[in-house]
Amino acid sequence: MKTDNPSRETTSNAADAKLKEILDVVRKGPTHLNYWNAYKRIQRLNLRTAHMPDEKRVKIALLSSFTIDPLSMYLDIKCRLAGLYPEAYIGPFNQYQQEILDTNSKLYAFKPDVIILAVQAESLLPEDFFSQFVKISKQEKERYQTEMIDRFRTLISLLASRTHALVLMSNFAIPSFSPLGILDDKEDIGLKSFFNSLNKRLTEPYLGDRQVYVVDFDGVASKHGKSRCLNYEMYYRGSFGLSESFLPVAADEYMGYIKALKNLTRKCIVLDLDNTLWGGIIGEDGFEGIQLGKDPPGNAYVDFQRLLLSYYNRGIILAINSKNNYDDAIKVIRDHPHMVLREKHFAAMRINWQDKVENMIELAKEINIGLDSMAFVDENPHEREQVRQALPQVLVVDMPASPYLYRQALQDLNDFNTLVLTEEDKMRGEMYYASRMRSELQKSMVSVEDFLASLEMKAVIKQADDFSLPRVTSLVNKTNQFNLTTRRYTASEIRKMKGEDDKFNLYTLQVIDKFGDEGIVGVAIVRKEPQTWVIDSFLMSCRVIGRKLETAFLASIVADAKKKGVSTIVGEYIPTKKNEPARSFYPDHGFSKHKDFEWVLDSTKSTVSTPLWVEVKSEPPK
Amino acid sequence: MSRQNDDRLREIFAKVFLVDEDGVNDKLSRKDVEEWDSMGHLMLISEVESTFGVFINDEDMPKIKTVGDIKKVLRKLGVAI
Repeated sequence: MKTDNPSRETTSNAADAKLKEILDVVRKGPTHLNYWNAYKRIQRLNLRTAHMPDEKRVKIALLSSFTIDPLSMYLDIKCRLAGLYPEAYIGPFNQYQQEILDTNSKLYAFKPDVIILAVQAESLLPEDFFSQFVKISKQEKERYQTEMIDRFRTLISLLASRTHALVLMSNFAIPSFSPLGILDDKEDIGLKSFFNSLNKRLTEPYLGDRQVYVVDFDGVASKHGKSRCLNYEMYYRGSFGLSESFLPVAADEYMGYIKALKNLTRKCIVLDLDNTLWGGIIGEDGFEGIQLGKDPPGNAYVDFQRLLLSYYNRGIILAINSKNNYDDAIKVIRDHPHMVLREKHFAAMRINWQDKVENMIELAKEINIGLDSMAFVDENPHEREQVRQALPQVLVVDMPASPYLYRQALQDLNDFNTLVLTEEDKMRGEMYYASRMRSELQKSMVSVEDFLASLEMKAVIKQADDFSLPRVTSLVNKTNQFNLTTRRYTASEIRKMKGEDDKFNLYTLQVIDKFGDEGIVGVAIVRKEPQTWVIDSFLMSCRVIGRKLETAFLASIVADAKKKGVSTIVGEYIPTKKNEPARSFYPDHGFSKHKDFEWVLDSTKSTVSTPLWVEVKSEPPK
Repeated sequence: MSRQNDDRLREIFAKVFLVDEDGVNDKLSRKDVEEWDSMGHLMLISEVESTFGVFINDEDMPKIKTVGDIKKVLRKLGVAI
């Protein structure tokens, strides 16, 4: 007997509605039984994913030494709850090595986007390894380790070269039991240190790798509690490697990677103030009355702010959305001795009596990110519900009632991950603050010149070095608007040009003003011919357009040419759909038209002068 | 108590095997339920064990072929159902 029979004619709208209804049940009651039920019911819907947009589809292959089907079930539901359309492939039981080695295996035919490799150490060690461990010599233990590591490195390099998938290899759970008991760490290699060093050696080769990630399975197991990670009955009856209570925790760990891969990462945390960043209500309790400091519960708010600061330092944008009198609230942010977060940490602030939904929309616009990149943290359940209903794209964090649990609640989210962390990420917060300060200053200034002069800009112009080459490559390939020729070069082509300094000058422009260091924002490539310099590429990040820095950059190149006795400078402009802002760059700077798209400057007759408000520090080429 | 336990078993059964709760009666058997495969059987046993706080031994497990069989095993283990 069946009740909700699959109907092949189900229209896609009806199927979507059904899917939503099924997911709602598991969202409200995330029990093991509800996950199972939802998974089975969704399987019956026979959803077709072919017409779904690529960015929402994800194909996950799971390879393991134990029964991993339940993990696949949790990942399926969690992907769907995150708005993705997952497909799964589960490798045959404990045959992961054959699957990886055989180029004709179903694994490769499946064309996975993500490969999860979860292997228990037991499957790679002799059956009597644990029972004989105490008697095994140090040399033999080391030989086992080397064999296991070599085996894995081979398997992983096969996966990496044969697929484009993100490879998630889990490390080994360090056993919490040792036959040596309290003497385990008195041995040369005790049981725990055997696995500890195995994990260390497993991770090291992939430190800078962008395809292979070692998932800290041992760490996740510890977080959950190792004694609760296995349900022994299910383990012995059906080789189930993860207990019912551990499954959602393990799945969340993997989801952190999957969300990062599918760009579901939240880039900005929008914060309420009263009872969120401090205890109490500033408008009622006053500056001295709010709870923030060394005593409970003020110490919990301080710690919560420290967590937010650590996120800020890795590139998560912070913003404020609070119903308050601006003057009361800003005084706390500026002057309270125990505030960890200050004005400079917030990319944008809405402290007013406006509706919080309106404020969210304005914040998204000001920071220039989508609502689907924002997370909202507010202790007031009504405000949360309002934002959740009006703006379903925003991640509304379910904050616990007790402030002591705030930090834990935010730490448990897997929504702030990225697969790469760049230097620019680490500076992002400062850049946003600086840009806010600049635009506030601009509002208060009468003339553009006054404003630009007040920025106290410094332009550092020099030749690219090993440190700046990756940034140069990225700018050359990403810049569209202020880009005179839009010529794209690969990293190796650019490296080659840098090596040929008799033929090319490879200029970089770095900008620093009183609000901060913008880093390298401009690149120019000059091809040196006898008596003539040709500006092959000239481009600047749109972040700094409108400050006449391009004039300072060009002036410096012209001055260098003059010093070398070169009188003719040729500039090209190749129009594209996007580079209109650069169209009149050369004529505006005294170049005369030579032929189509080509302008010439005779530096013996004319020159380009540096704007008064830019201080140039230039290192001329050799 | 017995009534409540009856409802809990019915819910487990309906959710594990995707059947209507009203259709769950003592006579409902493994061959009537499409989803009652070996994986489903393990899921059923595991949910029954954790819900009622019992351990079903491995001799009884394969003997469970109907809803009535589960109740018999549970009664043997002291659950009022």
